[in-house]
Amino acid sequence: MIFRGIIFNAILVGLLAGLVLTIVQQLSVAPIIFAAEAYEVADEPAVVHEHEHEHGEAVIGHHHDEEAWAPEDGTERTLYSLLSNVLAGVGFSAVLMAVMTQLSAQGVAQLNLLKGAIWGVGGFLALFVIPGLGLPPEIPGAEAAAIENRQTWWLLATVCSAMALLVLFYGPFVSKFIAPLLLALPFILGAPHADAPMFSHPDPVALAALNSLHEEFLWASGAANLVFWLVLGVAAAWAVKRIVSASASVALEARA
Amino acid sequence: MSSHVVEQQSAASVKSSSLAQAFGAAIFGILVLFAVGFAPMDAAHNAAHDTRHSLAFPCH
Repeated sequence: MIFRGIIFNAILVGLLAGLVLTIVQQLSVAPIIFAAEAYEVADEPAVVHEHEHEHGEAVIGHHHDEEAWAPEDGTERTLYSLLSNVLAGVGFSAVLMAVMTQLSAQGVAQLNLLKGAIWGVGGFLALFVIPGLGLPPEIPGAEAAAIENRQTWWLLATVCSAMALLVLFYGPFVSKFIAPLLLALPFILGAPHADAPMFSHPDPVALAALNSLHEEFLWASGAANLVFWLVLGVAAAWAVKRIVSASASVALEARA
Repeated sequence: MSSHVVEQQSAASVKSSSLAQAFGAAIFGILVLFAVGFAPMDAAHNAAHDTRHSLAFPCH
């Protein structure tokens, strides 16, 4: 009952959050990504390639197998972004709702729409802000450490941050002191960075443009993620209230 | 008295079943997130490219 309820509602919540994210993303974040990709074709600055995975001679930090399938720029790329955003929404909301249902059913958390928004802010902090302090969001063309090392650190940072926030808000009093340690742990270990500067374009004008795009991207992706997580939090809280009360009334009927 | 014991036992098993179901839902969510954010295949990366950048999943 709980499993089915979470999965079904996670799909609905994911659809909503993914749709909202796509709208915000296409308006503010995607143009920055496209602009950064234009600088990846270093020897042909006047030409913006139709297919973003075709290489010029000097590829800056964005390496792909040239034979691999990729969506065409334009509508196809937007639709695949919508699909991916929805799937991300489904995934995040399933995890979020699993935690919410347990805390709610145990009487530890009382959920309403406002509390849902606070959960959303928590998700934004744990999944974007805190990991972003170690590994800032990247635009295409950024030099970075090996992908596996960054993924491992990102996973550690998000799990530690999420656990720290949960312990802080819902843990027994003595356990709250663990929260700062959990938050600090990934930063004590240190986020992996490349030895090179973030951008190394030979043209100084392009280099300045990339650095400026990077700064814009921090704000644009920050705003998009905040909206995404607020929608996730509020919608998930609404859904979990229904799941928990439905489950409780089923349990009552079974005992009657 | 025996019905009270039975009630307590069934309440406990409902609780552990609900925990297991929530855990299963969380695993489902994590698998979906892995596919979107971490799957190494080029096609998966290219399809989810803008999502990965936008949500600050490490990319490339």
